[in-house]
Formats: sequence, structure tokens, C-alpha cells
Amino acid sequence: MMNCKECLPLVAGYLDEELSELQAAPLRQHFLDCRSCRCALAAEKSLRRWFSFENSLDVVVPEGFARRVARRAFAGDTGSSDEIPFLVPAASPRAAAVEPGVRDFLLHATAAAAVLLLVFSAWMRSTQLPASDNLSATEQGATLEQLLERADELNAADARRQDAQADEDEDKDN
Amino acid sequence: MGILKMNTARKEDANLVRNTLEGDSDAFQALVERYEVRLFAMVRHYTRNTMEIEDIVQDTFLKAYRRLDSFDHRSSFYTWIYRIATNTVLDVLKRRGRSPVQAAPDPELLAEVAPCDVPSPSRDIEASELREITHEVLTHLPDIFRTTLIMREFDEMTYQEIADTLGISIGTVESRLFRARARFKDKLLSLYPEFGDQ
Repeated sequence: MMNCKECLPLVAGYLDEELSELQAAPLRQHFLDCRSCRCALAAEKSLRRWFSFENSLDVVVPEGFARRVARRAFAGDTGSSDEIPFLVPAASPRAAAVEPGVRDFLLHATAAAAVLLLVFSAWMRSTQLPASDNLSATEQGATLEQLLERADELNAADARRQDAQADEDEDKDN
Repeated sequence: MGILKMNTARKEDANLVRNTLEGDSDAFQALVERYEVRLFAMVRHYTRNTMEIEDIVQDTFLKAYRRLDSFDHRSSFYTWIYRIATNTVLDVLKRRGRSPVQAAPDPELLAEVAPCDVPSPSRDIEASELREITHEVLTHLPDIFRTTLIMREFDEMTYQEIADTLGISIGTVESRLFRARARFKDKLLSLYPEFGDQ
């Protein structure tokens, strides 16, 4: 037979449906026999009525919340609480948000601009390339020695021309 | 919720988690849609600022996505994400210095509050008023009591689920609930003495 001392600590668990039938059956019997514990049960029930309103009835989730969160997650956004706790005002995520129609337009415009840039770059490159397939930087059949010799001849000719010019200028001055 | 329905929900969650990990953003969106209302409702018990609520729930889902590969399916997805939400909301309140009991010693070490009888809310009280009063009283409770009470009374979590979510024993859950309810009664009557006269 259960007594009040054993009964009272179990009242909350009884109402929370956390007791096994083995524990609940003698408790129910005790409530029938004991007015004082019945009052304790009633008081505990009264308390629970303060929490009895439907919690999620009037919850308003902003439109497009799930889609926005999924997009942010896949874009690598890690949230604000961990890394940079409160440097950003609470309103900033929404302030930065763009209307879906505008966002789609911007995405398409960016993609089109990227394609145009690619085509233009390819065209620019093609106009600067030599038209011939023969892209050798050296004259065909010439060895390094022959090339150096030719360079020396060109330098010597250049030097002679400069000397002649200098003599001519000197004669004019005189 | 029946066991069959619960298992079906778990399987659906598991599929969505797997598809998300494989890069399917629609699957993650579906996961968010499944739990957004419950998390908005849960976070609302801690703050009344609607923008802050949205930020906290969003952060919760972003953290969940980042850690999704660590979800091992031992608990339900909701229990797992609920734990992230609880940590996020308490972290926010702590860092913003909004909790009135931050500087107080561990409430579990304080002397037990003598429980006092509190009547049921009167029948003619409006549902919205009832909700406002209850929320106001809850904001005056220490975090550990408020959290436990919210989990039990609003989210109807079992003692085992609360213990798993908070990483504490069932005995501690029982003890916290007992003290939380006693404090709730005490605070209710101190804020609204008129309810003691009914």
C-alpha cells in the first residue's frame, strides 16, 4: 500500500505519462484513498493549464524562408552566431536579400555578360596571332654564328651611317 | 504520434539527409520546411523579437547543414536539430546579456523553492493573454529551468528526449522539472498576485 511520502514525488511523472503501469496503478489507488494527494494532483493539473495554449497555431514563417536558407547553406553561408556573433545588425540578412524576379534577372544578365566577354576575348586573340602557320622565330637554315655575323654587319653599317652624319654636320658648322 | 508514423517520418528524414549530403539542395529545403514551424514556435519562447527569431532559426539550419555529416541517426532529426536550436538560442541570449540570471549562481544549488498552489487560468482569460502571461513568467526563469519546461510543456518531449537533448540524466530532468514548475508558480504569483485570489 502506497503512502503520501511515496506518492507525492511521482505526481509530476504521472501527469507527464512517464510512469510504468507498475508504478501508476498503486498511485491511482492512493489518489482514490487520499484526499490530500488528490489535491496535490489537482494543483499539478492546474499548473499545466498555463501551458495549454496551442503553441504553433499562430506561428508565421516568412515566405520563402526554407528556399532562402537552403540557398544560403549551399552557397557556403555558415550562419552568423558562431563566427561573427553580432557584428552584423539583425536586419542585414533580409536587407541583403533580393526579390526572386530581380535576382533571376541579375543572374541571367551576369551569365550573358560572361559569355559575351568570352567570345570577345577569343576574337581579340585570333586577330593578334600571325596569319602564317610558320611561327619559327629564326630564319630557316641560318645557324647562330651566321645570325651573329649578320647582326654585326648591321651594327657596323649603322655605325658608319652615324659617323657620316656626324662628319656632315661638322662640315656645315665650319 | 504512432510508432509507425514516427518510423516513416524518420525514414523520410534519413532520405532527405542523405540526398542533401549528395548535393541536393531541394532535399535540404524540404528538411527545413518540415521543421521550420516547430523551431519558430520553440524559439519564440525565448525572444519576442520576430527578426531575432528568424535569425536564430536560420542560424540553426545553417549550422545543421554544416554538421549534417555528423548526424548519426541515433536520435531523430528533430531531436538533433532541436539541440542545435537550443544551444543557438541560449548562446544568443547569453552573448546579448539578455538573460536576467546570467550572474546568478547555479540555480540547482540554490535552496529549493517552496511550491505554492496556483489556480488554473480563469476560463474567461483570452488565449492570447494566457500566452503573454506564460511567456512573461518564463522569461524570468533561469535558462536551465526555462529550457526544460519548454521542452516538456510545449514540445511535449519525453524525459528521455529531454535528457538526450541536453545531455543530462533522467533524474536531473525530473529534478529540473520539479524546480522549474515550483519557480513558475512562485513567479506567476509574484508578478500576477490576482491569480492567487481566485
